Amino acid sequence: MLPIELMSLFEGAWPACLVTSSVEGIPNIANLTRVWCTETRHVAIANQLLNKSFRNLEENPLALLKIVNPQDLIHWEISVRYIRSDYEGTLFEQIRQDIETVSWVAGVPLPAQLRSAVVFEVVSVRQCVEESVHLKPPPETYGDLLNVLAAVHDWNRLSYWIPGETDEDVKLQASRGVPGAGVDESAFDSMKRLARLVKSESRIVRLKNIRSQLRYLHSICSESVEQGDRPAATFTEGTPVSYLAFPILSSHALAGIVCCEGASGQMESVHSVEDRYLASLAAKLGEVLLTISSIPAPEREALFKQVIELAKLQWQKEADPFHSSLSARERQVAVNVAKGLTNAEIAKQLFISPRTVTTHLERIYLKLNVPSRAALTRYVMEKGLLAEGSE
Amino acid sequence: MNKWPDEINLFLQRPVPIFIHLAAAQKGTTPYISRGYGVQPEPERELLWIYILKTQWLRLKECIENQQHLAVLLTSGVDNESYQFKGQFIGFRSLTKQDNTKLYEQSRKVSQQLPGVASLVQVSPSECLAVGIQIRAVYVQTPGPRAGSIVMETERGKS
Repeated sequence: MLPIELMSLFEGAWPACLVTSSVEGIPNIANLTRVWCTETRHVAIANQLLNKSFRNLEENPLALLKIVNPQDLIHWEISVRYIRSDYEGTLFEQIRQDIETVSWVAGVPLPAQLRSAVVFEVVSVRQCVEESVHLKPPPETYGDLLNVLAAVHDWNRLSYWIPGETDEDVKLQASRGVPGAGVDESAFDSMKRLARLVKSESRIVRLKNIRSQLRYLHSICSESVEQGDRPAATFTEGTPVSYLAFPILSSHALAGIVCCEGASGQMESVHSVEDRYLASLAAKLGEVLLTISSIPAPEREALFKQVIELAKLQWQKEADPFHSSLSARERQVAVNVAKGLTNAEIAKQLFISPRTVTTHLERIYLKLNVPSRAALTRYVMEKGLLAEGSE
Repeated sequence: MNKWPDEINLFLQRPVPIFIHLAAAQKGTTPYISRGYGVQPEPERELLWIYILKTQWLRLKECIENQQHLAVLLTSGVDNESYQFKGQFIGFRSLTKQDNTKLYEQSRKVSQQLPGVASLVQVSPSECLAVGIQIRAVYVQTPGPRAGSIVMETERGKS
């Protein structure tokens, strides 16, 4: 199935490549001016000048289409299987008209007439992450991201790190509200250690109310070395007592690390977000960061806000008891009740007995804390869950 | 001695951005293609060196483990003049100073003539390596009546 973000690439003439290979495994590349999406599982190309490519497809139907999104310059690989060539019919006519119209508007003759519409089944789709690594966001991007994260979550002290070349190395890209930043070399020591830990273990790290633990550790250290050799650790109101750090992932690869620290009184805001929300947020931010180098600077903060709000909305929906407490079957029953079906009708549709439907309903009322069928219907409708019970 | 036809030599010297695609395949599987960031011809040895990212190399090398056939499509970014080089993988190496100059030249040409896609080719030499191809044949791929016709076949290609 073609992802939604790819659909715009089939609406215009964007450069693409077709790679085929002969039965001996000798590859052949052809430039294409356009790929047509015929259905969500099928794409087509125009055969005007395909010679070797066409012969290859008859020997080995597996091919690769590479297409670039002109908005963000991200490349996509569409693995396809050749299924047929249309020499007439609706698709052939549509493609012929499209290429003739472009040729007419451009005022140039067609290099060759359309021989056939070559139709492929889509096998898989992949974003070419390995070709996007150099499309790095400008450094100010990370400052914009931290500003938005701070505003939305009420986080005061933040830093953003990217993985360095060695296993342990992390590089500071931006910070916000960190005391001593720019004047005190040790201002980021703790966050750097935290970022390294996230990099090595690729997981969310939380440290809550750790002042007493830090005192204890410092006292052990002080005892193991000559007394007086090491300055005693001093803790003030501003000393961080809580830390939160999470990885930003772009297509499952570590793209960056957000570190957040909180002084006393700020612990609640630092830890008010759950791990599953952070994981979802991190994946969304990772995808945005992959393409944000093409977004004008004034629009960056607005885009980050949209992404974070979307992650919050999705999380609120997922955290709803409808998803977290009800079983898949109970969700189906609840949705069918909201659609106005009787117990007998639901039983027939789900191939269960009416008595089982009644049992499910009793559990649903209890879990969602709703007193009646009407209240359950209102619950499902108001939360927009009508399409959720179809799994 | 440069044994390549003038048509190819002139194309490789054109002061225009050249878009590069490098493809590999294994028998009976889906082929792989990667963008190239620069090209360094060695006509005397019938070689072509293509600069790709190290991250791309990780994928490409899987496709040439058993078979070493490669194809390179070079396309002028201004008028679609294009040629497809076919040959065998002969190895890879780090970029030399000469390669670095070529890489920057290509990036400069794209920035000047096609600024909208400049960020696509702005890569650092340290991120790249050069893949060597022993050329066996070159085909015209410019859209038009000559598309698909052979321009050159080396002795290795004939054997």
